[in-house]
Amino acid sequence: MIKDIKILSVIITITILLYIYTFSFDEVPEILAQGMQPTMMPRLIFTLIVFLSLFQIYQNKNLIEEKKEIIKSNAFITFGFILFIILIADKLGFFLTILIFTFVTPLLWQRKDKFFVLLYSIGMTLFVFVFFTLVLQLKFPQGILEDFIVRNFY
Amino acid sequence: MELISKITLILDLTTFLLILGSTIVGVLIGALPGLSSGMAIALLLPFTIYLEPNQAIAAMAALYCGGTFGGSITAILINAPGAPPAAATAFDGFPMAQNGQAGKALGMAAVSSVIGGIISLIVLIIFAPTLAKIAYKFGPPEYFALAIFGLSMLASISSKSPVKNLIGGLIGLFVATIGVHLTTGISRFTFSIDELFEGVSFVPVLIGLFAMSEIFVQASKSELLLERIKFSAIKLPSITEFKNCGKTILRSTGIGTFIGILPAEGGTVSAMIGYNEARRWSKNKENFGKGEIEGVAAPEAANNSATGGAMIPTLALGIPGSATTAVILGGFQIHGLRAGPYLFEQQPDLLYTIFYGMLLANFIFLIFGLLGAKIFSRISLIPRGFLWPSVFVFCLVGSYGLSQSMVDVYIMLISGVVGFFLRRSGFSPAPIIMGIVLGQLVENSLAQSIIIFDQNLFMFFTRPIAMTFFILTFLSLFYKPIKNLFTERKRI
Repeated sequence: MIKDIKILSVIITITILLYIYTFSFDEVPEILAQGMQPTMMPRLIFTLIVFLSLFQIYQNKNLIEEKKEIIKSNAFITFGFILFIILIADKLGFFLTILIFTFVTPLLWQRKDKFFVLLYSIGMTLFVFVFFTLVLQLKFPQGILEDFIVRNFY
Repeated sequence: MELISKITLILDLTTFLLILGSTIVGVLIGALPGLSSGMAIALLLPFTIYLEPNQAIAAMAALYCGGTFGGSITAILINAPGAPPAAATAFDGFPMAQNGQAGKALGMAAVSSVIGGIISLIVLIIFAPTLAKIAYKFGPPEYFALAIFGLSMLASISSKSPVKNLIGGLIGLFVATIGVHLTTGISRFTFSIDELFEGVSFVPVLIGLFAMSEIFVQASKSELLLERIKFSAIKLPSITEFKNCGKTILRSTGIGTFIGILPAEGGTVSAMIGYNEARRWSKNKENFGKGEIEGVAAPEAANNSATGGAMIPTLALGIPGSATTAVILGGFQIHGLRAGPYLFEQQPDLLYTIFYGMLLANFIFLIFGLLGAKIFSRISLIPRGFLWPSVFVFCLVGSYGLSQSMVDVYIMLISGVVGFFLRRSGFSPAPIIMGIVLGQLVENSLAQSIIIFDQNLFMFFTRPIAMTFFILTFLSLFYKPIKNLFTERKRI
């Protein structure tokens, strides 16, 4: 297989789809557009991306795809867990989310010392709470702990 | 005299402590393989909103200096450059450490870094206002041509493929078009998401591309067992060694400053060229790669002088001189500042604060680098299982913090995933960031040029400065292919 053909094909496909999408933009009267319709710049960019991607494929035509390092299952598990954490962060609240994340992830990454992991997790959460919420006064989603935090810290 | 009197700008306790803290954080982060000063600034950017603009920009600039130097510590002691600009330092630094000269290598790295850094700052303070004065004459056509030149320079940075860098730059330009089109009020690529009407926030994209994608990279790696060279104390280079390296340091400083000034080029390119030139001119060519002290002095002087050099186009023209200065430009936007010639008119003290901030950072990392190298090298031993979840926490808090919107967190995650797959395929995140930073300038200046030229784009040919930039763009894109063509013809 030609080197980089997969990623460049994905880029070309997405670019073409986005190019087609620009036809759904409203047309603006020439007097308002002043020589530059809102579609002009994106279309110019997409054309160049497709041209350069095809040029790269042409340049690589005699190069064979090198074997890439396999994405380990750990990366997929971490990604899945991060996605889950981000989706529940709003409802659960940032502090519980951070507590869970910083406890579970080191274990997923083969840390065996659960006690130290727990200490780290509590320490990290407390740091975020004290520094960002109490010192910098940043308001994060507090989720199910909202009543407790509002009653005791504001 | 004005320059000397302006030292008071950094002498108030808060500013001084901020610069001190940022430099130390920069050295620590620079020493950690995988973390870069650009990533650190991206993560801390949302929280600088609580600072005065001058303090925030000076702190970022100090972090930039500290981060560039910090990479050399782990490059020398564990053969794992903490940051890409320190990669060339490992070529001779690590063999020196293996030969029992770790202290001397670290000492030379610190001294040559400081010399390079200070000379480039002198160039900055002289040259930036001069360049800004020239830039007063720039109109939209000149800015458009300059931005295109800046983008064309992406062809030669970091990743192996110039075409991939250009594609990355264009992807960044596309991201910058998302949101309501300023001239016509038409929404583009917002997909009915209200939060996107004002465009994609720069900070979450930055955090996603730099930090989040690195977390996914690290998740796929095993714990690295690195050999850490033990050393007793840092030794400053002897006068003879210093004399022998003097020319190399000055040459590399010149190279680093010049390359830093070029849009998009940064410390990594400077260090590599500085190292190669040192080897070319050295009397001890054959010792390079085996533990030659000049091989440490050259890349360190070059990569640190690139920091001052890179700030010149960033401040005077608003065109980033490197990936990290592109992130610093994001900091300007957050603080409502617009880098460019008018910055010196509207914020005259900013240049001096940055100058003194970076100068102070150089002295701080000289002292802390020399005294604390042992501690800094230990930071590389922090287990990945603790380090990267902590980085994620900063990603989460940082991307949410600025606008207090979960949409920004989702954008950060999407950018991280996209960045991960692009990096796996040999794309670098730096061109995408450059594209986003330059996006508005490119589109707005083109739109204004079209109006000025009454839609006749050939009028660009009547503007000498714009034409010069277009010629430079042509040369930066096609110089190598043309040279290769001529070389092949000669062979035939």
